[in-house]
Amino acid sequence: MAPATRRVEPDDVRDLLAAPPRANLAFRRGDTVEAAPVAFRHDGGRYWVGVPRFGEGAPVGPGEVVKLVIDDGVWFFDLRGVWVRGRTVPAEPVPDGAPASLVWYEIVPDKTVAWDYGTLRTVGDHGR
Amino acid sequence: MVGDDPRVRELLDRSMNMRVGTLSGGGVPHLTPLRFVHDGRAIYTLTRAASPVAGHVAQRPGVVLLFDAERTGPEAPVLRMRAQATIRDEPDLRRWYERRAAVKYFLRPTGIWNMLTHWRNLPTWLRRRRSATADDMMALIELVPETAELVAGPS
Repeated sequence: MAPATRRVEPDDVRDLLAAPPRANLAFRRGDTVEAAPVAFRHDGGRYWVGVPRFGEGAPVGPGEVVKLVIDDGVWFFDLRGVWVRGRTVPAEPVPDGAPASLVWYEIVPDKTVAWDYGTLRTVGDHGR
Repeated sequence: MVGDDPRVRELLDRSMNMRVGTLSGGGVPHLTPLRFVHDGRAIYTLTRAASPVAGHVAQRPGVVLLFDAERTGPEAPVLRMRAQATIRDEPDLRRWYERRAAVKYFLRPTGIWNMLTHWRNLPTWLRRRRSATADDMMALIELVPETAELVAGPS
């Protein structure tokens, strides 16, 4: 049986990337995993996250491997999103209009995956 | 369930999806949106047995869960829980999960409407669903919360 897929290209969900309802980031803290809501900007295929400060620093440092998830939808065929796994690089300069109260990083992706359950199809239905 | 704070219970009750943070065996952080149901003591989710989440919790059962009750923005609080995950294979528990999930996600007017408006996708959805069930390719994960806190959205 031909497999089903809901994979799409990140550009197919560019409206979601332009105005995401939520962005969450997973990162390591010692030997445990941590996750938190973050601010997000996307422009020209680049991904930035704004992380709340804790005291003088941020819970995420430069050069860390993180996973960012942007997702939307409640009902099955409305579910869609993007995840980006990559390393953090301090954002210099910070994106336009980005709140200075946050610590901003660009995520340099090593893998990006996008999905849209509204496109659920058998592989090959649309040539991909 | 951890804590008697009514805000915790409300966020959990109102949330349709959660984000599950795990660490791979090699220590790489992952985050995955998943559907869930809860019974007041534990949270349950069903995912592919071959998925990263199922693989990770078998090696590192400590996870972090995020719930936002589908309300987003700087003013919307997010419920963050730390939990211990266990893969459960009892058929009765799986059937209980399937019933609860069907009521939560499909047997509601909006859920039915969502299905009807995507009628072209339904044959593929049904094939995918039958395949996963018939081959027992799914893993039911029980998540027992240890701590719960409300965190503010970024602003």
